[in-house]
Amino acid sequence: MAQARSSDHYAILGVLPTAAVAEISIALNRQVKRFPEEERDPATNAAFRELVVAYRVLSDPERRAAYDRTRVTSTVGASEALMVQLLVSQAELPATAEDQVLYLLLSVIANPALVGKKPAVNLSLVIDRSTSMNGDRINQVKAAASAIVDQLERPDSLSLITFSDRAQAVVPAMRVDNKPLIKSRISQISTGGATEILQGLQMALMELRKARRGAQISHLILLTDGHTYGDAEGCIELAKKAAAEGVGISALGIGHEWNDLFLDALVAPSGGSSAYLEGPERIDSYLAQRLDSLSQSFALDLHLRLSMAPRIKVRSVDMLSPSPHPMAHSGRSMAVGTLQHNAPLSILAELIVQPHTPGETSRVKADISADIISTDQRAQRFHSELQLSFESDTPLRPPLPAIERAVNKVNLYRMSEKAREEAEKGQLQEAARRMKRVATHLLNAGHGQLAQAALDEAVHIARTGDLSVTGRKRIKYGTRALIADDNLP
Amino acid sequence: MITCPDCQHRELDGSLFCTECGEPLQPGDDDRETVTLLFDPKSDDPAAPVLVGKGIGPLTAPGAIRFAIPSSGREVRIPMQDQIRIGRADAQRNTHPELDLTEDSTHEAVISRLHAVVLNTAQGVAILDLNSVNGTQVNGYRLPPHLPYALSNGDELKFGDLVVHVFFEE
Repeated sequence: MAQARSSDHYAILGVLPTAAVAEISIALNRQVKRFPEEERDPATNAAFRELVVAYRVLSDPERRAAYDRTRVTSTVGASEALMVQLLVSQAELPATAEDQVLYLLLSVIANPALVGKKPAVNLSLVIDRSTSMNGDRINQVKAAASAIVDQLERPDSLSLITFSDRAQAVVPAMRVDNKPLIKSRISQISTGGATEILQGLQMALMELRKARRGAQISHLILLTDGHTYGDAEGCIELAKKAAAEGVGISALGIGHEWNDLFLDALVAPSGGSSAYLEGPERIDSYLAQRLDSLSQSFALDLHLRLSMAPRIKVRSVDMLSPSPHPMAHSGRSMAVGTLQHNAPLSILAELIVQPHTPGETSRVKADISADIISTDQRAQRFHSELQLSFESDTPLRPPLPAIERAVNKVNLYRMSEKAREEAEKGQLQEAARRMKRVATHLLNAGHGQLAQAALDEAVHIARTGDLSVTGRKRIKYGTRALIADDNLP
Repeated sequence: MITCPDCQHRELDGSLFCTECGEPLQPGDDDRETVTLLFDPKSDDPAAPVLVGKGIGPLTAPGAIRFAIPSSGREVRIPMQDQIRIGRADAQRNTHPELDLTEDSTHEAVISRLHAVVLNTAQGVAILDLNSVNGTQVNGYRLPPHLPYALSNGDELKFGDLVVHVFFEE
């Protein structure tokens, strides 16, 4: 499925399919400026005409909706399950003697022609019932779990494991036929003991295996508020095993005591998502949303492999949506998790392009493998590639809005992470200064609350020599969340 | 290499933002400097847009349009033609809109040089915002740029914060 220069309206404007109307106007302006004034005539210039048509369609909600319905199917055909699209910051690069950065934006979109009925979910909730969960936290978790029971329907199945010093299958894997029974078991959960996550995960994986048959999606959701004791490595090993069996893992950290790096590592093998809630109030909406996204799964077990011509190296890879996070990249394939039918998956890669001579060309390729749920086809392969050319004298063009936005937001997230690392290393002045810069950028972008949190942290670092436990997570997950929100500047 | 103008940190060519301080590195782009796209309202070209709010305006075009500007008390009558451009005259840039609002504009930035255009289309009279900086409203509705919107007798337009009433005349 090699795509030549795409005639896709979104690609022509350089915006993501989720772009808001305001961004589409900005994109039009930028793209028009790529044409010298005398070439801005749709009647004689086909490329300019494409741009005008793209804008006309995407700026009109009705025409855009109609276009969206047929877009993927008409581009890749009715039988191809996914569309893989590549955009770069510049396809014609200057041939210089220096290394240069090239940004690559990859989107994967489900073909609506192949969206089947809602897949059957095999879900396991793994709930921390350690002493620290006592009170509001456990009560909210129980209420949220009960709501999940209502949200599930035949032929979904559920298991619910609690853990403290040891694990217990409060609800062993079962169909959700007898909802009152399941709920009464949930209501009896009480708190006590320490946090040992591994046993909970092991038991959940066993329960998930029992209910696999007939289920298209097997998923584990961990809810915890603390550090696990001494079994972190075992947990990561288990997450790898689960991923190899096709079991996805999501994790929710409540409060400030848990280890965010551990939860990130736990969800990484399956390409799952980790999230943070400051208080217990929104546990129910988090769980409901997670289950909702699972039910909208279109393809599972996605893996991405980027292959570059010899003089192009990958510097970093970040998932932008649906769950923004930095991804470990290697020459091998990367787990990117699940694709929903109603939300594109997008990934930003930063590439280092080594010197090329004028007239040379090069290639960037992306290969995706995925299990398609509706057609029950495993390890289907999809491919997209892009040609780069090098010229001695290439005009610097304004970047595509989608790429500029993504790079800006990822950069802001990285700066906040860097400030935190500096604080940990005792470089307090640097850390405080950097956090202030993060605050300024957040404020300029209109994120007042988050900016205030960053500013508070800058002060906190200078005063106490470290970030506050609250601020650290608030800023990390706050700047992360901005990456996925395409409607924000 | 690029040197960040803000913190002097060095980044590779092609970098969009400084990894040290977060400032944009490429001479970006003034998004306020807008581009206008005019289109031929009579064409059956697929590139031509569908009229938003169609069916509200009359299909027979008025002979002229009277623009009434309450803030200055000025009224301008312009015979109906294929397009009536609205903006501020600027001899240097060779912009001469049919409806020149220079004297009604309270300060320079409110009205763009080419702010909007009234079009005589096959589907009736329409107004199109030309991606103006401060926008065009019809009866309180802010128009998306470059999308024609049906215009009716008595409508209240707002260019930036300047109110203009339109009246169709025989």
